[in-house]
Amino acid sequence: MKVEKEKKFTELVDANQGIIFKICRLYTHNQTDLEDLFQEIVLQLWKSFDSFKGDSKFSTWMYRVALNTTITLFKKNERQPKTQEIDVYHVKHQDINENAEKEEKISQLYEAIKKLSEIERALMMLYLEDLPYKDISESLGISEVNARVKMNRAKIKLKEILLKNE
Amino acid sequence: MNEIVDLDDLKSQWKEQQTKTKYSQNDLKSMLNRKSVNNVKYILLISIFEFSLGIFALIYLHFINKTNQNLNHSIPDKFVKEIEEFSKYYLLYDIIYCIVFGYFIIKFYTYYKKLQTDSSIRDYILQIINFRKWVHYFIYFNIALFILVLISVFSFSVYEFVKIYEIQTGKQMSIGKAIFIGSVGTVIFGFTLGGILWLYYRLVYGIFLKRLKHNLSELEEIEE
Repeated sequence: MKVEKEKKFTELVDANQGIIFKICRLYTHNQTDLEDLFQEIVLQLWKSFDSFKGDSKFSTWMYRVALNTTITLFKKNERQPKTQEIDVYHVKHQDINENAEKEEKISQLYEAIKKLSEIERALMMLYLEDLPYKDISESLGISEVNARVKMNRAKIKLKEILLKNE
Repeated sequence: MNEIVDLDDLKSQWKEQQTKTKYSQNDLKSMLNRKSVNNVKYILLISIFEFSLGIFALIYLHFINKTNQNLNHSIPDKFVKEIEEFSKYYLLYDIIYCIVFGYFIIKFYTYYKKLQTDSSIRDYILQIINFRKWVHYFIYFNIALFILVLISVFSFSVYEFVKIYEIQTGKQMSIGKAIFIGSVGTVIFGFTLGGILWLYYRLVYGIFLKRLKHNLSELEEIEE
């Protein structure tokens, strides 16, 4: 029974691990913290797995657990610089292929989002993941109207940061 | 990003991004056996450690008190009895302290178990607020108890000091002088121990509470 449960769980996490990586990358500043956070999220997902009834998509449920773990539970290393992008994702300028250019843009986007507050980062992440406002508001525990207002402010803030970074 | 920032464009770039590291299913499975190190668990473990120290001190001090009785030949019987009487109160204080401390641990554990990570962020933070409330009570309790002990030790010391002084010198000490000497001692003792206690809570719990406070202000901001 336990083996089956573990198998089902690892399959689901494996299929959605990109989500965890994106969250980890948004909230950490070095590879060690990223890996620690990843493991903590997987552990918290596992601990709460029994409460996943399948009413919503696994990914939607995963966003909630992952964001709660990241924002409230995770013991982050406060001594790290606040807005530095993780080195492993930096693309060297000599590398001029299309993928490198895309990755550089993504890297800049991460760097800009990291300048937002923790809650705004969660909002922006859910927006970029294309979640409907209903799911975003439920994940945050606020009304849909409030989520839209807050999102508009975060979008303006992000645009300003991106323009400043140009 | 030289062109005008278009968030829909960014959204499509975001969705197309490749994650560079990928764990295998075996790696993920091995993660399930690792120990969780999170803020709430950290507070719970520290409080259990403090509780164990308290229990250890209770047993140890009680044992020491008993062995000291054999070494008290040089102190007049009258004072030995008074010190023993005071020790009984101290033992009572220790027992009450351990009971209340145990109650706090049960509360911490209950709130820890109640935390549901699949709640909405808002509800989750509210659950953490309840946990934080008990952490605050716990700190207030410790500080209040510290002040109480300080006052009782001060009163007893002054009382005993005056008596011993009178026996040893054959002179009477003025109450004003006794209170002055006792006050200086208590202030030095109080400030040193109080400072250590404050520093300890600041280091151990302060870091955790600071993060929670920040998250709470984030929540308030969203509810404005």
